[in-house]
Amino acid sequence: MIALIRSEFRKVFSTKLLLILSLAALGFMQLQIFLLVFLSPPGLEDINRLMDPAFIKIIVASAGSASVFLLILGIVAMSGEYRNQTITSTFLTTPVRWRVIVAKMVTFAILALALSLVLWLIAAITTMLLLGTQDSAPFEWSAAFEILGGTLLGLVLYAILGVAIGSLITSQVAAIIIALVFTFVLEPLISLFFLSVGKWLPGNALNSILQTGSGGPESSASDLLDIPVGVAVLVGYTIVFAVAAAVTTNKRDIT
Amino acid sequence: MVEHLTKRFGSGVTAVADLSFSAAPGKVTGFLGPNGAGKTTTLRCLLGLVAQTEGKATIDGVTYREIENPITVVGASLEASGAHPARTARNHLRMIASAAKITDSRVSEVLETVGLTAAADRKVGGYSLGMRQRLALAVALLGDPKVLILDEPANGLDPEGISWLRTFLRHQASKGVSVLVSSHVLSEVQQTVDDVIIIRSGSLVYQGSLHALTEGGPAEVVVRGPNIDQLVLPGQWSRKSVANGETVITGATIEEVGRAAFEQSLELHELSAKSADLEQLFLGLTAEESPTNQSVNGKGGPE
Ligand SMILES: Nc1ncnc2c1ncn2[C@@H]1O[C@H](COP(=O)(O)OP(=O)(O)O)[C@@H](O)[C@H]1O
Ligand SMILES: [Mg+2]
Repeated sequence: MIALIRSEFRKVFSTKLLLILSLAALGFMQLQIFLLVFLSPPGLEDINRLMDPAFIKIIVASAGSASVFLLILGIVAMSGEYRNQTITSTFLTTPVRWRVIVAKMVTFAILALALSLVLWLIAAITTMLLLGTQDSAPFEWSAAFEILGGTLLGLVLYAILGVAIGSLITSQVAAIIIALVFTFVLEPLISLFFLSVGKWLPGNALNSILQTGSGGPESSASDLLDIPVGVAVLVGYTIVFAVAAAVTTNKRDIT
Repeated sequence: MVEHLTKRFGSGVTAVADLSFSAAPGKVTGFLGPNGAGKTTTLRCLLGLVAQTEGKATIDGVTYREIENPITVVGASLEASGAHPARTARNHLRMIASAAKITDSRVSEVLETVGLTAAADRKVGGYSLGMRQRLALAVALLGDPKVLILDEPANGLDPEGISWLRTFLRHQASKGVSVLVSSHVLSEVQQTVDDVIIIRSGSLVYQGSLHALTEGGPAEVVVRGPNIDQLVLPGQWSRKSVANGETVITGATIEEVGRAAFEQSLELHELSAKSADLEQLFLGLTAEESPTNQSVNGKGGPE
């Protein structure tokens, strides 16, 4: 397994995929932090939300917005093997296919862990610096640390989920479109109209771990699952998708 | 070794139908058949990439998926097995090597063997078809295997490349490596293979030595001379074609035709056994319709 993980690391570091998606995640996160600090949602212009320490925590949790990039990272890495037909030599080298999937999941979990740690730190520092220019509640590192565990866990699980989805839907374009439509259209819509259902979806399970709201202007963490339940739900999704990926991949004809 | 192998794809296509054959160890075996005959599918079943509907496909008595670290036992290059275009050949090989616990110095060795050392650190995306074939061969050689399974390795190679491939296959065979090499063009492998397996529409048509195949077929002799149309043929011979002072005769050996021309005092400019013979035979064997109706390059059928 160590050999397989080493092979996976070589795969990742011999293309630019990781670099590009990490930079995209960083840019997206910084944009979100700027917007949260400097813009007020319509109707809430009179309230300075920055006075609320809970809101500052939500700003730091912007590191969690990298989730979609890590999801895509996993998807592209796995479905890319089908797209570039490297899957043939991969499965010739390791015919016990689930081992390849597990090695890839471990690899991207490690990468996601490192990346999310860096993003969390940058998010905290950026928030601290920006708040210094504003009239706001003080920035507290303790608050940032409260969401560190959730950020790391959430992003690691999303990267693993990405690998699983990339093995279930091997058409790269289809997998990415389905993941994006689900994340940015279906999930927000369901959450907006049926939060009782929506809170059980992976995106809101992640939000509960990150202790942010479901995204609506008046949403709050209290509408979502309790943190332990959120963790259990997200871990559950990951396990179900991973097992489904291993089973379908084992049966698939590689032509 | 393939026994009663059948593969039906979900779409209802039967790619391989009750196919059985065996390739002898230590020999180069040609696996021939026209496009769509089921060669790639058979090889992919043999390599555990495609699950057969029925039958068995084994290498030295075990299935590929049962072999521990298989690329050190069986090396394969397949059609539609690619490399990431942004990766260099060296990195492509290194990632496979590390998964199979093969050293990086072996990577340099196989790059040298296939003549890609100079291009090893260039991105595969910029490679020609011939270079990709060489890279695929390098992958196959990486584990220093005793068995090589090569799917259409001559595809996309220029004549120089094909000649290089012949030397390569001969060299492998001389080291005692068993080679199973597929092709849809007999002439590509004709000079290299010991035995051939010929399939058509997923079923076996012929298995045996190339030599035995030619013996079974009609002999053809080409004679050329200014008055060759005056050559009188004994009863069982027949003139297959006549053009520009050249005649193709079937049913006689080259010696018999030479003697006949000499006895009839005809001037000859050429007397040769026809080399396209084997190709004709191959096309006849693999044609969908009755083999006798075969007409190739306007040269006419056997009768
Ligand atoms: N994945 C697939 N799904 C459906 N049909 C396939 C698939 N792969 C191959 N075939 C069909 O199986 C037959 C044999 O193909 P193949 O094994 O590639 O032949 P060859 O390698 O001899 O050219 C063809 O009719 C082809 O269309
Ligand atoms: Mg083929």
